Amino acid sequence: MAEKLKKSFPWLIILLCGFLIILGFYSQEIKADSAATTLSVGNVVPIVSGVALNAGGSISPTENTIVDVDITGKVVDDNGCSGLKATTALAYRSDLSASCVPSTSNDNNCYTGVACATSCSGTVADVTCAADIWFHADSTDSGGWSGYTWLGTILATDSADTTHQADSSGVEMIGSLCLDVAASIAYGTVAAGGDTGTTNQQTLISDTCNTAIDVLVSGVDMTSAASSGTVAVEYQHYYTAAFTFDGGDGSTLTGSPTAAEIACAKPTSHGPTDSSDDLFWGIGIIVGTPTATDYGGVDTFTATND
Amino acid sequence: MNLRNFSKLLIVFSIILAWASICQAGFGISPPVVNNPNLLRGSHYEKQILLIRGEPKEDLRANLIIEASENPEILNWISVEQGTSFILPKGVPQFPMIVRVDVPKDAAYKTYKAYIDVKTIPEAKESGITVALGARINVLLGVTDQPAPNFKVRTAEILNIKEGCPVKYLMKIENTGNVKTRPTKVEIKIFNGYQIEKLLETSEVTAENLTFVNAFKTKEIAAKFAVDLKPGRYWGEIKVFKDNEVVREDKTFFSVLPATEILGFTISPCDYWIFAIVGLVVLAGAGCGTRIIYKSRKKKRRKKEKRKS
Repeated sequence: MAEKLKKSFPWLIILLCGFLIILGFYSQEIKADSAATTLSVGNVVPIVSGVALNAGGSISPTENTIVDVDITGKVVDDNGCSGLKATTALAYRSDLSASCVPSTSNDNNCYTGVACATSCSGTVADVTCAADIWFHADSTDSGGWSGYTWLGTILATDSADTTHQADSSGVEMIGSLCLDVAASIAYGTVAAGGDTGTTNQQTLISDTCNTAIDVLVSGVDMTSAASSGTVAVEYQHYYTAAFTFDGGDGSTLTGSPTAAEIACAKPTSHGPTDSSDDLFWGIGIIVGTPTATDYGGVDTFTATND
Repeated sequence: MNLRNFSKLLIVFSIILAWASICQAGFGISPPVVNNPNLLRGSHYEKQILLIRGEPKEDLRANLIIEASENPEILNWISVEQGTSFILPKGVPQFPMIVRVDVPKDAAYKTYKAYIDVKTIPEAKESGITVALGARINVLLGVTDQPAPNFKVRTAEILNIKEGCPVKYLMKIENTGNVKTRPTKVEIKIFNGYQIEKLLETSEVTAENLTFVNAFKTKEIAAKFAVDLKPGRYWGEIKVFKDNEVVREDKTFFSVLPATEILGFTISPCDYWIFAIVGLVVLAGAGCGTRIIYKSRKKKRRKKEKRKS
């Protein structure tokens, strides 16, 4: 028995020490619980950085609609990015950096209140804001605003309403040429040896991007499979106003693209574009042209710089 | 020609020029120009033009005509990656088309003009006038013997790094000049990430430590700043120089992450000398081991041979 006690003694000592250590920790915890501690954590201003507009690339508008352009960046809030109350963004022409505010929003040069999505991890939030830029946004690689650029700005506001903002580097808004022709050329029935006289067909040409345009017009002979007849392209005439066929005003359509001299300035609004002009058309049919109802051809409208 | 008079004299044949089709949705190009006044002889230049449609509901064929009546010799220099007839797929509002220019080595030093007409081909109707839309790309090329170095910094960021590694500033450089180029200098100021007024380090990387970007190409290059930073968050202010001009400024946070600890030693992935030493030791060990095994086998073989004899 004495031998057994002798062998177990060190283990008893170890167990006792362990018990005392645990007791010590426990009593310390009790002490901590019973102490009154006060701490105020102050607010830290969120910091926006690394802002990029369209990932630093030039922006090309999309014809007659919007193009989605991302403004990206990071927001660091040492109080935790989950405490960010709002992040919004702006996209604007660089000369308007001081004046682009919600009250001056303009789809040509100043987009405000762009909604942002945030992905928060600890104190850092990745921010992506999608701006819908209209086709008539001012170009900065050419035209009256060349020399300027477009900028993106991200604004972050935390729960204490403190804000911080940062700008991207400048990118170009590319001047682009677009057109739409919203009417057809429907000559109807014309007698052989006759012409359309004072009756014109009208085509409405719309400028649907962000630079002034003129159009080059050209065509091909109209042909009929049923009668094997042809109406040569030069019997189609056009003019920028109503005209009498063969009255001296109309220009002869040819196979070579020729400037029609329409007036389409850079659009400034959408839905629909506010830049459009009409081109008027007439046709003459020479004697000997076989009767048929399937005469067809192609007239081409080519947008070019005004 | 007075068709009215003719019509009175001759038999009248009535023809129907049926109602024409309503044209397809709009079409455009961005940008409408290929302009490079600084081409060297023998150089290659590419320009992307977007063919844009607001309502790409259907496939649409585009045909190209390249004309250079004033300088017909440049017709051989200009080509389009997609060919002169291709399909604009439905659902793609911005279709990229690449115009290539290959300047011959004996091209005269002067300015050349051309244009590329892009014409869309709508589905032909049974009768009447079909309206086709197109757009003209003006081409203006200048051949020179003068080098014109230039570049733009498209994007840039300071990467998060591991402790012991150099601070890395990654720049996407577009070389807009006609010779290979690189920034003259990149400067960094590193501030405490929590007290951004507290400057900790200033460093710079000069041109000789930066990679070149070839003429008219875009490439990512890195400026590496050998600064010793403890794990934590930092605020970096960077300036990129073209000669003495600052062409890009960035202010951003970055993090230094703790290096791996092995047996109580902190080993950074950028401590290349440690990996070199470990590599050498392993190689030496493998070499010695192989030699020992080879020798012992040789000994055994000799013993066997002795026994046989």
